[in-house]
Amino acid sequence: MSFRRFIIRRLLYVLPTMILVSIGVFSILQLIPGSPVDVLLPVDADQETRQATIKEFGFDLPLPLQYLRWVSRAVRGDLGHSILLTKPVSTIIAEALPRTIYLALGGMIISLIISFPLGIFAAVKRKTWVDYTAQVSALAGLSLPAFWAALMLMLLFGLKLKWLPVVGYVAPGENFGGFLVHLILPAFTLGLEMVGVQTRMTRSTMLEELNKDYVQTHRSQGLSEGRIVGMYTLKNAMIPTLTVVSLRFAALLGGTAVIESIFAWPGIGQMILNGIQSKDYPVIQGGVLILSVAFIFINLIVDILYKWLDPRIVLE
Amino acid sequence: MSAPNTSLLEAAGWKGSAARFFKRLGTGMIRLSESRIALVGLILTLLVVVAAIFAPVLATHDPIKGDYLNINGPSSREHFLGTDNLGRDIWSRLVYGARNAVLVGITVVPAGMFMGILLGAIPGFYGGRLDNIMMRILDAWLAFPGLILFLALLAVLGRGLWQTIVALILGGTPGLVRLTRGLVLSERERDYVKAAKLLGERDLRILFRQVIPNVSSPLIVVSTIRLGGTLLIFAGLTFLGLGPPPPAPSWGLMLNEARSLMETAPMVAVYPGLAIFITVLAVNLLGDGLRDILDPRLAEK
Repeated sequence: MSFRRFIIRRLLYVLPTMILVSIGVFSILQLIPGSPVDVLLPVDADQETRQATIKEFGFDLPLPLQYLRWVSRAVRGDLGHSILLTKPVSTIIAEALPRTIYLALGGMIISLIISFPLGIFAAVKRKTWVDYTAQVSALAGLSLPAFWAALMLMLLFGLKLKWLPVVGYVAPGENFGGFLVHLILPAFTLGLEMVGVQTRMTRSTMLEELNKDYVQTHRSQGLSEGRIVGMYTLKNAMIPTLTVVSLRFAALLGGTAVIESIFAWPGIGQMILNGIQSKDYPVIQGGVLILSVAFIFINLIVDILYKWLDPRIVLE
Repeated sequence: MSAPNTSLLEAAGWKGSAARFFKRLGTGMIRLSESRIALVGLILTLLVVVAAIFAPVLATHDPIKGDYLNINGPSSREHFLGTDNLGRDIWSRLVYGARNAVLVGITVVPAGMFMGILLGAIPGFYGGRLDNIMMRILDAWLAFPGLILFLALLAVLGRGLWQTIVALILGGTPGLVRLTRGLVLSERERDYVKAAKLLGERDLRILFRQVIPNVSSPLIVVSTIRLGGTLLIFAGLTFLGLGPPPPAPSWGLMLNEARSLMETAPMVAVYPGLAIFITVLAVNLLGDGLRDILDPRLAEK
């Protein structure tokens, strides 16, 4: 399959997924008990406002038409109004999304700094104490509740040692130093959550690479283990590892809710949680939709990049 | 099915009936006790189960009723681990909290397997359009990243213990459906399935009598491994206040309540987290052990 045909087919795969996702998000408002009009309006809304809302959202139309109307608005960036904040949902998202991306990026970087060397060391020093230590800490990392780790870190660095601020967010454009200082604890907790999976993956990818014939050849030529790893296997093991990392980054965007809530980091996760707490359904729908669309597109880009790096890959 | 046919199928690569499987699981358990790490996992898991069953015996106080004269009390002979901000005994609340974890385990794992078979194995075995549609639906299902799927489900279902359990089942479904389907697809082409077809067996009968027992090892292993993650998500959702409402003795909720006390009573935040950590670690160790015993091929992945 040529590269162009691959891209076209991959794009065609996205379409049904997008349609189903949008139907799912649209259904949130339909599935909750009670009439959607009551959900969208304050309890003391008068008859006139009710009628206006029914007209605006087209609740008197048949469901498929309501859906089409909702989608065509969403495509144009109109995700409705927040009930609580009386602001357009798109404006709230535009403020919150970058903050979630900063947090996810920070978490990603920290998890790579820890898991990459740990996994590589564990593979190279296979079946020594280094390997066992790495594996045990990976397992511990997999079992650690991130929000608890967050509380403990807050307790230690925020309340006892007073090195770092406990909660809050400072915009990077406003005060970059303050932004970084506030980012450290949440990003570290988020990164910690991924260290387990990533260490295990780096280790197994590296082991696979070390078992390949070319490594044997180099060994027989008398090349030192350190040089083989540094010059050859490391590079080859990077591609699959980085692919999975980027995929996990996409998933990470949707996994920050708990951390955001603990550290009062006003991102998308926090926004959706507030939406659930105050039954602000347009906000929930907007947040869920934007993260899912981002997820689908990051996966699309990763797939295309991967195909470009390794043309042998075929679409399943 | 008569005996000679069974031996024919076995010659063609079938590993035997469900009864055989449980026998293998039995010998597996004996081998489990040889692997020290897995044994630690098994013992810790059993401890949590015992705590859940005998909570009324092990608890020294009512987990919900507080002693207002003794709030934020230190650990003492009366209260092993002290009391929280409402004077409730922390040890008793921890013991009762094990019930939620066990409840999640015994509901979400079998329900997940059921969904995997219903939505993955059956369409996968028949193939064709139904299978294709199912896969597209799963793609969409998987397109809600991380916690978002659970949050969206809970936005619709509302808060509460059972709502959270339903969300955990539905949220875990796509992964298990994919796994079950993949396993069934690779089995479908094997000789014993062809042999059973030649013997005149009906498709669904082949699927349930031969194929599914044959893939039950990886199914059980993966379900156990996934349970650790499920328990973490459950604790996280409870922590966010979306699970059982207060004053339920739930570990996630206890941590949430401890947040406001961090400066005055930091230990209140330590114990529930440890309980979650140990439980999840136990299940993960057990899962790894089961994997090494029942399905060594999976260990490579």
